[in-house]
Amino acid sequence: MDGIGHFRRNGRINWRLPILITAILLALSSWPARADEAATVPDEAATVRRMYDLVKPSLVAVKYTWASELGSQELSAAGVIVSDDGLVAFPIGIVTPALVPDDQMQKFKIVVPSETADETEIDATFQGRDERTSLAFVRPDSPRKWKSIKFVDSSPRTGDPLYSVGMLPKGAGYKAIVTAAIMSTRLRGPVPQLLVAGQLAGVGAVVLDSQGRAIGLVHARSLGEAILDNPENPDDLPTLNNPPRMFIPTSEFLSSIENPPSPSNPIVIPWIGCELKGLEKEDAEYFGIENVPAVQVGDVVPDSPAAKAGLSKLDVITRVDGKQIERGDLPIELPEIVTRYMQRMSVGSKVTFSVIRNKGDVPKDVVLTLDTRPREPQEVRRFYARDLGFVAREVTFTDTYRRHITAKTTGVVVALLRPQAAAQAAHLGMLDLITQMNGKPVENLDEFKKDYLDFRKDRPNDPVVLEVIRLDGKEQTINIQPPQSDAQPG
Amino acid sequence: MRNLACWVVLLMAGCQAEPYPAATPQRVAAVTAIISPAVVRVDIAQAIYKDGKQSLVRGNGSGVIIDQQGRILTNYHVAGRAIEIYVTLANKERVPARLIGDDHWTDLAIIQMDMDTIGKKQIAFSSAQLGDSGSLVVGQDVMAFGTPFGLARTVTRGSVSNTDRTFYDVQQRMDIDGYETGDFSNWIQMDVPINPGNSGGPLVDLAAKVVGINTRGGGQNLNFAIPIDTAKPVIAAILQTAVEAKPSTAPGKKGRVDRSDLGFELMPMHELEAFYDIDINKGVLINSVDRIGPYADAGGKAQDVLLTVNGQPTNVRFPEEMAPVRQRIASLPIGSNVQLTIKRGKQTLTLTAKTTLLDGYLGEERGFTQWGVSLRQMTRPYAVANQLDQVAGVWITSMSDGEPVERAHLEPGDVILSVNNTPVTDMAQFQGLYDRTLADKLDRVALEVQRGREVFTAILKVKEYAPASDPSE
Repeated sequence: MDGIGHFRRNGRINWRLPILITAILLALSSWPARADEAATVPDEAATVRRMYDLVKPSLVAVKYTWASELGSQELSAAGVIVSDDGLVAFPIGIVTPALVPDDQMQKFKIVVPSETADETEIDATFQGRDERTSLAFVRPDSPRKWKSIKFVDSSPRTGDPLYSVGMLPKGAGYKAIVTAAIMSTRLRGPVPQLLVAGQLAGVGAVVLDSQGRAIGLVHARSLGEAILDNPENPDDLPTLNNPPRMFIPTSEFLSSIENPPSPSNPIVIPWIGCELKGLEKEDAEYFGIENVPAVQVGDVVPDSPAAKAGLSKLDVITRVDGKQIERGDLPIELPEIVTRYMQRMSVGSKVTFSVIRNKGDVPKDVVLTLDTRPREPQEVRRFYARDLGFVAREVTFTDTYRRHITAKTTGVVVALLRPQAAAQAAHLGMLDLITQMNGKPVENLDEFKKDYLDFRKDRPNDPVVLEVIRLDGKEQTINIQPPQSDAQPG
Repeated sequence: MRNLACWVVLLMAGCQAEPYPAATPQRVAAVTAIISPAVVRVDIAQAIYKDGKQSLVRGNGSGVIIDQQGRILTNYHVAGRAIEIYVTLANKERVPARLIGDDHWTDLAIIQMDMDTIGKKQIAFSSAQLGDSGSLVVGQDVMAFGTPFGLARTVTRGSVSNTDRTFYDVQQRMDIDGYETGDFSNWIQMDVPINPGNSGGPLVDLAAKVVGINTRGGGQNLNFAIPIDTAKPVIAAILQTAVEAKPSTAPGKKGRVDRSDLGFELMPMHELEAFYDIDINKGVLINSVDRIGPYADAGGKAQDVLLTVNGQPTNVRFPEEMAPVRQRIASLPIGSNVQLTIKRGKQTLTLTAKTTLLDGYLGEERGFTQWGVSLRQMTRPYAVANQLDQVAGVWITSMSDGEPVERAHLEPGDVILSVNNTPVTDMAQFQGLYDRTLADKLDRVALEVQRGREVFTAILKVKEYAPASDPSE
C-alpha cells in the first residue's frame, strides 16, 4: 500500500502539512540563535540536529504477524535498540497481555529504515514482555553490531528543555522526527508520568535532555496508541495528529533493560492474593491516620500469601516494609502503587505490612511471602474446535475467582467464538466455563480436545451438549447442533 | 363501497359458525354499547428514584371496571407503581382512584375509584363481565377498547392470531423496568390494532365478555393480551390480601399474589431427550440452580431432569409448555415440603425441597434524603445474580451529587452491609439504623460496603452537607 498517496487521495489529512509546520516552528525557534552566531548561547538548531543524529540510528520498527484462530494480521510498533548486540525494546501495548498469547505472535522482524534504499527486514525472535515496566523485547536471530541508546536515570526539573526523537509509520517512510519541548511537571501515580509543554515525537520516542542524555521513553497506554501502522485505518498518523505530551522516566524501566526477559527466562510476576482499596481522606480520619496514605484489604483469596500471613478483610495497611506508602494524585492509585512496588520484588521474598483495624490501634506487622502470580489467560494453552467455531483454553485462577467457585474446578474456558458459527448460534458465550461435554466432566484441555475430536469423528451428526457456568455464575446447558455439510467452514 | 362492506360481512358470517359470533356491524355496535361504559382512561403519576431523590413520571393507559364497587383491572406497567391516579369514565367524568394491589409477574394491577366522588356527583358507570379465555380459538373476532396515544374511547377490532404465544428465552427474560414478568402464562396474540395507551384495556369477544387485558403491541398487527383466565386468580388474591387504610388507625396494605419458588431455572427438553436418555415428552431440564435457594439446599444440581412434583408430571418438551409447569410450582403451598422425582444420569432420585416465597430481583426501594441516596432491599434472586454470599444488606440505586453518599465515593450497585458496625438485615431494620443516626445527630457514619469482590469502609460526613430542609420530603 502506498501510504502517502493514500493520505492525499482520501483528502482527510495531509501529513506533510504538520511536518512542514513542525519544521517551520523549529526553524523559528532557532531564529534568534542564528541571528547572533557569535553569542555563547549554543546554536539551538544545531542542538536539535545533534539530538536527531544521535538517536536516529537506534530507531527501528518491530513487525510481527498476529496469527489468531480466526485469521492473521500484521502489526508494527516503534522500537529502540537498547544494547549493542541488537536487543530492541518496544511498548508492551502492542502485545497487550489479555489479547495476544505468546505463541500467536509469529514472524517477528526488525525493520531498519534507510534514507537512500528500501528498508531492511531482519528476522528476529520475541524475548518476552515485562508488565512491570510496560516494555516488550525482541532480538535479531543473527547477532549484529548496532548503535544502541544508553538510558540514564536522571530527573529533569520543571523548565528544562527536552528533545524527543521518534519514528513515523511506513506510510511516511519510517522517517525519524525530532521535537523540542519543555519539562512542565511530574504527575504522581503508579507510573510517574512527566508532562511536557510542547510535543513529543510519538509512542516509542526517546526523550533527551539538553546534554543529549536519554532520560525517558514515550509509552503507549493502549494497543491503539502502540500500533505504528494501524492496519484498520492506514490514514491514522497519531504521532502527527495527536502527539503525546507525557513520557516516563528511565528509572521506571531501567531494571527491565538491564535484565530483560528471554524465552528461557521469562519475567515471573509475584502476587499476594487480596483486593486493595485506597483510603479516602474521610476514611483515614476515621481510622485516626490523617495524612497517611493507606490501603484497605478487601477480599482475601484462600491459601494466598495474604491469607497465609493472616491478613483479613477490612485491615488497613499504613506502611509497607516500614516505609510510608508513596502518595498518588488520587486514593484510587494507591493499590496500584503498592502492587507495583511488590511486583518489582522477586517471588519468595518477604514484604511487611503495618496493619491496623481500628482507630488508635498500635500497628501490627504482618509478613507476607510473595508467591508466583496465577497464570493469565494469554499464558495458557488453547484448542480450536474449528468445525463448531470456538476456541477453548485452560482454566485460570480469574475464571474461578470471578464466579465464586473453588479454584480446583476443572474445565475449559471459551476464549473465542467465530461469528455465525454453530457454537455461537447455540448461544455459547465468550468466557463460558465448560464443565461437561456430552455428560462427561471436563478434566483438562488435552482430554477435552481428544474427546471432542473423537466424538465429532465418530458421531458427526449428533449434537454436542455442553454444560457451562456463565460469568454471572448461572449454569446453562448448551446444545450445539452440528453444521450440515454445506455449512462447514472452508 | 357499501356493497363491498356487505359482501365482506356476509362472507365472514358465512365462515364463522357459533359459538364464535361474527363481527357484524350490529353486533360490533352492540358490544361497544355494552363494554364502553366499563372502560376508563387511567392517568397516573409514578414515583421513581433518580439522583437519590424521588421524582414523578406521568403517563396514561386504560382499564376496565370489573365490579359495582368501582374496582378497575389494568396493567402493572400502567398503575403498579403509581402514587397518584385519576380515571376518566366513558361519560368523560374524571374521578380520583387509588392502587389496591398489583402483580408484576402477570403485569396486572387493581385500582379503586373513589366511590365518595362517584356518589356525590352521581356518576354512572357499569362493569364488564369477565369471560373465558380458555375457549378462545384462532381466527375468532375480538375487539379492543382503550386510550391509544391518549385518545380515549377508542374501539378497534381484529381476530385472534394465536392462543399460546410464548416469549420464553433462556438468554433474556421479560421484564418491566427490571421487574420480571410473563413467567406464569402464555399470551393471546391478535391482529387488533394496539398502541401505547391501550395497555390495561380489555380485549373483548363478540359476546361482550372480557377475554384478555391488552398489554403489548408489537407493531405490524402483532399484538398481545394477558388471558383473562390468568387474571382471575390474580384478582382474587389481590382483593383477598389488600387491607384498606383507616385514616385514624392503621395504614393500609397493598394486595399481592404470593407464590412458591424452588430456586431453579427450567429449560424445555426439546432435542435433548436422546442425550438424557429419556422418553419423548417426559420431564423438564433444570438448567440452572440458584446458589442460595431451596433446590440447592435439597441437594439438587443443574442438569437434573425434573420428572414430577408431588407425583404430578412436569413435562416440558416445548417452550409453550413452560408457563403451566412454572405456574404449578408457584401454586404449591409456601414453606411446604415437596417431593421431587428427578433423573440424574442413570439414577432416578426423590428429593425433598422446602418451597420459599417467590421474590423478584428488585426489592422495595426507598429514598434517604439526608444521605442523598435511594436504596433497595436485598432479595434472594438479586444476591444470587450478583454472586453475593448472603441475602442481607441494602444496595444503592441512585445518588445525589454533593451529598454524603456520593462524597464518600460510593457507586450505584454498592451493597451496604453494616451501619456503624451493626449488620444490615433488611430495609425496615436499615431504616431504623438510619433514623437513629439522624436522631443522634451523628456527623460521621461508618458503612461497611461491598462492591463486587471488594469490601471496604466508607465514611459519610453527614452534618455539614445536609440541606436545611428538603421540599421533596
